[in-house]
Amino acid sequence: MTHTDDQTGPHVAGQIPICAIGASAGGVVALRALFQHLPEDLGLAYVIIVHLSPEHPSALADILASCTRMPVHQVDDAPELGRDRVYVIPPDRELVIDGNRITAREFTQPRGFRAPVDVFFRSIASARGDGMAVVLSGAGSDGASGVRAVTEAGGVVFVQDPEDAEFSAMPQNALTTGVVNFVAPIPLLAERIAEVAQSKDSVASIDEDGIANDLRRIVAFLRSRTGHDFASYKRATVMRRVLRRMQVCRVTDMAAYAERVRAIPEEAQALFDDLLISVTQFFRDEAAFDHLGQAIGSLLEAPGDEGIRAWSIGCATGEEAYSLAILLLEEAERRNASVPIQVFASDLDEGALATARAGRYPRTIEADVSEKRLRRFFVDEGTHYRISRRVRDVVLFATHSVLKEPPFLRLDLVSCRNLLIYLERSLQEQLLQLFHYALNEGGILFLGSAETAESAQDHFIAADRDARIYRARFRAERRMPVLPRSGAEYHTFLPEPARPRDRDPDARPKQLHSSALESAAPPSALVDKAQQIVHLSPGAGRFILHSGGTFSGKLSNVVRPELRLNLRIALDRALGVKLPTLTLATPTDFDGDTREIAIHVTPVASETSHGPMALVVFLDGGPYQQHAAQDDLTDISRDHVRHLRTELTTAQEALTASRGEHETAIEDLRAANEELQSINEEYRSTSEELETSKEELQSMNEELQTVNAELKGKLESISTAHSDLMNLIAATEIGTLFLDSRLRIRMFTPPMSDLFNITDMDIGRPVTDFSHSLSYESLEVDARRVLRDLDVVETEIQSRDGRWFMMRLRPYRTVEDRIEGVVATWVDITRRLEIERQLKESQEHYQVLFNSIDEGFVIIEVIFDENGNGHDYRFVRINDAFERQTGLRDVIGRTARELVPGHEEHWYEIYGRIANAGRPERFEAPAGALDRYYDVYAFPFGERPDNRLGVLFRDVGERKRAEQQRELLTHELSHRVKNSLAVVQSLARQPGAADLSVDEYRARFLGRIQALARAHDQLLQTHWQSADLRVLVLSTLAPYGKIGERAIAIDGPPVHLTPKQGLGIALVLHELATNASKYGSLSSDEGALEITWTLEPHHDALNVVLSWRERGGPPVAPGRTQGFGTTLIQRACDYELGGSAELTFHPAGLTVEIRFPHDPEEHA
Amino acid sequence: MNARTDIHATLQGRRILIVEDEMLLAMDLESLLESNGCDVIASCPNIKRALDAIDRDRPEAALLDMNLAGASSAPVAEALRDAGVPFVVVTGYSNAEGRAEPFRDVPAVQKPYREDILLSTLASVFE
Repeated sequence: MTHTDDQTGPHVAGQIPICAIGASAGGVVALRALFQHLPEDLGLAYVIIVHLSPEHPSALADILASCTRMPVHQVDDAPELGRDRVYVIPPDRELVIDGNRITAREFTQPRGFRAPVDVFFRSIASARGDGMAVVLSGAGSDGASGVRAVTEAGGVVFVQDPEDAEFSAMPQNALTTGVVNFVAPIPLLAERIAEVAQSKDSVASIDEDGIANDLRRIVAFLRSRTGHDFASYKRATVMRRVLRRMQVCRVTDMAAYAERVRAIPEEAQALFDDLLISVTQFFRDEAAFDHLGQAIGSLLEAPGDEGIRAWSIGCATGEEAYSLAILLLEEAERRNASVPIQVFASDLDEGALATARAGRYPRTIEADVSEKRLRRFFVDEGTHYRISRRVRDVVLFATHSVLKEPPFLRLDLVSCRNLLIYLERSLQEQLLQLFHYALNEGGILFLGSAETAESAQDHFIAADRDARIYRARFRAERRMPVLPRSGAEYHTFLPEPARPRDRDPDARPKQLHSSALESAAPPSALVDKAQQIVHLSPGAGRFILHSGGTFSGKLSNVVRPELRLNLRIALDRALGVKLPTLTLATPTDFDGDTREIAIHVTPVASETSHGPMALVVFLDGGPYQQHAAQDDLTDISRDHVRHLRTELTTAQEALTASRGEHETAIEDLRAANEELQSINEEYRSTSEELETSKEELQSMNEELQTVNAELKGKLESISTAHSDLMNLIAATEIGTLFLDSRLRIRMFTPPMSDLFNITDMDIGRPVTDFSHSLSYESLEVDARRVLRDLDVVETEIQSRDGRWFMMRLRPYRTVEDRIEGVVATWVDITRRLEIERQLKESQEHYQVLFNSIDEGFVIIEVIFDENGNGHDYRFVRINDAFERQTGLRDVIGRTARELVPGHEEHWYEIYGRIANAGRPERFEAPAGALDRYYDVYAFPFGERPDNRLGVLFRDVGERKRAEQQRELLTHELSHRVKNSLAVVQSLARQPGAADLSVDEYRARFLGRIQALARAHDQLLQTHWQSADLRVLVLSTLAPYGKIGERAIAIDGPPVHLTPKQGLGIALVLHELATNASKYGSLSSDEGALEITWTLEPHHDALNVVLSWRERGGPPVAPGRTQGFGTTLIQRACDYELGGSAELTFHPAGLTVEIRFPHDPEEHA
Repeated sequence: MNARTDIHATLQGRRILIVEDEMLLAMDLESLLESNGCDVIASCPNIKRALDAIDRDRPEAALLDMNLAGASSAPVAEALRDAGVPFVVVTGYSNAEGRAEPFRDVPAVQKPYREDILLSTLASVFE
């Protein structure tokens, strides 16, 4: 303990100071209170470690967020720390820190051994070298070991006052470490944290070089106050402790603190304690351990019946005890010695012992333990090493005070390092004697580097002075030294401040007197009740002459033989009846010089519990005068002397025998004592196991507390959920039936009682027991099918009162996805079905209507171009008439441009306009590409954004054509009529011969008109397409007698004339016939007429050549031939026929030859 | 009376082409125009003859039937227009709107015509 390691990490600038808070049972209340009191601008990062149940999510972050304005996070990954933020441990994780980042990782310890508070405290101690650790309410001892590490690293420790805490164990355990800086109820604790946080900044800014003097002063004060010189300590270590004390005292100036150390003894003590904080480590002083290993070798060569037993005193967190165990195991192995090995390890500190028992150490031990040992005796657990089972089994930990309680016995090795230095010298000696008592002969005592057993040389001899290894000397008489029982002050091993030392002897007159007396007084000896020498005065040795044999400290046995008898009698008197005795002077031989010695024995009242004592004073009466003796002898009969001598011898023998018996009795008692000691050890071991179980139970209890609190919360939310569910069930009015896997009713909703004859009393009974009002008998079958196939059954069922229900059977899945029954629901769908039926009917009606109308009906979707004008349209739906009306097939989904190339643009324009305007339109328009003409009614259909139109249309092409034809005909008719009238007009205007009577004019006029009418009749028969020459001839000549009756001959091939030629020929023939009937061959019965025609080639075409020959008529009067008739005939032939007429007036009769082109086209 | 005298004066010696498919009508028009002092240079029943006549005889004016044996006389009208010969349409069609392009904006006389109207219309083309 004289040495503290400088193992803290460097103070990195920019590191955010951490306030780590550990709590457990009752911690939530404490945390809330703490955060309600903490200022929110301290610049600290708060990390909260509690014991959470691994299986449940934690609501702690939410709870704390309601108590502080600082942001609260649950650490689920590895966040960067921020000032004035709160970080909360997640369930089933422990936290460690690395720089400014905290990481949540899996627990490295099994459940029941977890100490997340310690883990985190140790983590900040090793990573940061300072920080604040706060321990709040909780059961168990988690945090105790952590605060020790934090203190060691220079951090400040706060603990909630156990009386203030709901569960006091955690604060109490932290307090027993003795390293706690502040103990206070929560509100005060919050103040202290704030103060320390504020002073931290100013302390951190102290310039270390500038205060070297102050530091030296402090060390000097400490030396004068405690007698301990820390000048040889590492300066950084001392500085760190001083700075920490300064923080704790809220002193920011080193000089002021030096003054405080000087003025206030308690502060000096506190600093001293701080400086001595224990750091144990594996194989501390490795060289010493090497030597110890060699010494142990000799033990192993001759082990006792019980094997090797070692005792590590003040084992703290167990490193040394394990080191010893490892060493012993190694040595035993090297020698192939299978010797039972037992290491007892004791300490007062329960917290430290818990750590020791766990046997789990951070990786930093790699520095102390060789790789080979790590491999053989440790289990690598990632972040930690755990001591192997083999080593652990060797070591037994116990709470034990070496000063107060009986020691372990029959030991081969006692290791007591760095304990003695704290003790007063006398106590040291007594302890050494105790160790000697506990050790077997030749047993090893292993001390700390600053300690020695030189003061007990009669008990120990140095085996290796440098390594502080001593061996117990053999001593026949072994007594357990009695140690002061007022050991309360040693209880915690706190070193006592050195007693004030008065160096001035004048101040002690009593002592002066005693020493004067001692130098002047006769030699004397002080004996105890057993006549054992307690003390001898300087000259008293002369009177001692030990006989051969076993050494004895009994004065009456070792005093010079001449004096023994008298002394024995005198002592018996003094110690028995408490009377002083002065014996007669006895001649005593001092190496040939015989002197008369008288003995004065006085009982002494003892202040101690040692019982009565006696002071033996040897009075030297000068040299012996032989004669005087001679005289006496003469007076006494020789017989009498002989008799006395005989008696004396007998008595002496009897005494020797009785002494022997006494010794035997003592041996028996000693054996019994040892028996008891071993029983004691058994109890200890049992106690230790119980201790461990208790810890586990406490740990479980912690978790249970937390789980319970969370369960309470969960119960509340379940109760809310339940009430929500009940309301939902009532609101939906859906009949719902929950069946278990054996179809027993588990729950049902109120509407169910309409369908099944069940009441709340029937829950638990099979549903098949109940009658219902449904026309459905396979409920059981279907339900079992659902359970088997895990499929949903859905069916419509009618109830006996005519209602319809949609029934669904579903498997009941628990949240863990187990099937635990069937859920049946009945939804009343009577009304829905009715509406569906009506809807279907209505739809059918409309469908029939839609398809049976003759008009085409189509729903189109108008497609717009980028300017928003109709560009195309797509067919969405059509009726049956559509195809009839358009001739298009397979149009659905296709567009008009695709289907009807060349469709007129006006269709797209009109439809675009209707869709845009949203107003229906009726129009007629041609569809040239379809060769149709449509009458259309188009109207917006459905929602505006769809741009859909309904289009009702009918092909009116036939009607249109008829109309056009009619119009044409009307037009043509008008033309013809007017033309005919004009012709009639011109006929009427024809000048006649001057001698022409009105009757004659009239007859000629009518005849011409009739001829024209007949020609028209002819043409009408052939629809004004052509006129047959023969028919024309016959009809023209018909009024003049029947062909054949009269001498009229007609002959010619069939010739078709154009209408115009027909009319022309008719007119010409009429004129000729009229003339003939008046003047020619037709005017007499003898006359004959021959009309013939032929077709003659003329150039590339044919000419019709018609000849009119009259015979037998009256002689021809040439004058007749002039006039309108002849002109008419010639003009007509030219004008109407495109040909020519040659009239020849033979005396026998008129001959006319008419030529004109046959081909009407040629003619035109 | 004055108008009638003016018309008569205007038409004196005018060389007129008649295009009319109905022979009787053509003869009637010939006699009407000739009796009013016109010189009817030709009467043509079809397009071919009419075009030949225009080309050959260079008439001062023409009377033109719109329908020649069922065919439109538009080519004749165009030829007349191209030749700068004014003409009067004589037609049985009553609808002026329905006339083909070459006949538009041309004086017209409805069949059956009144002689005075025909004459005054013909005279108007010389004003």
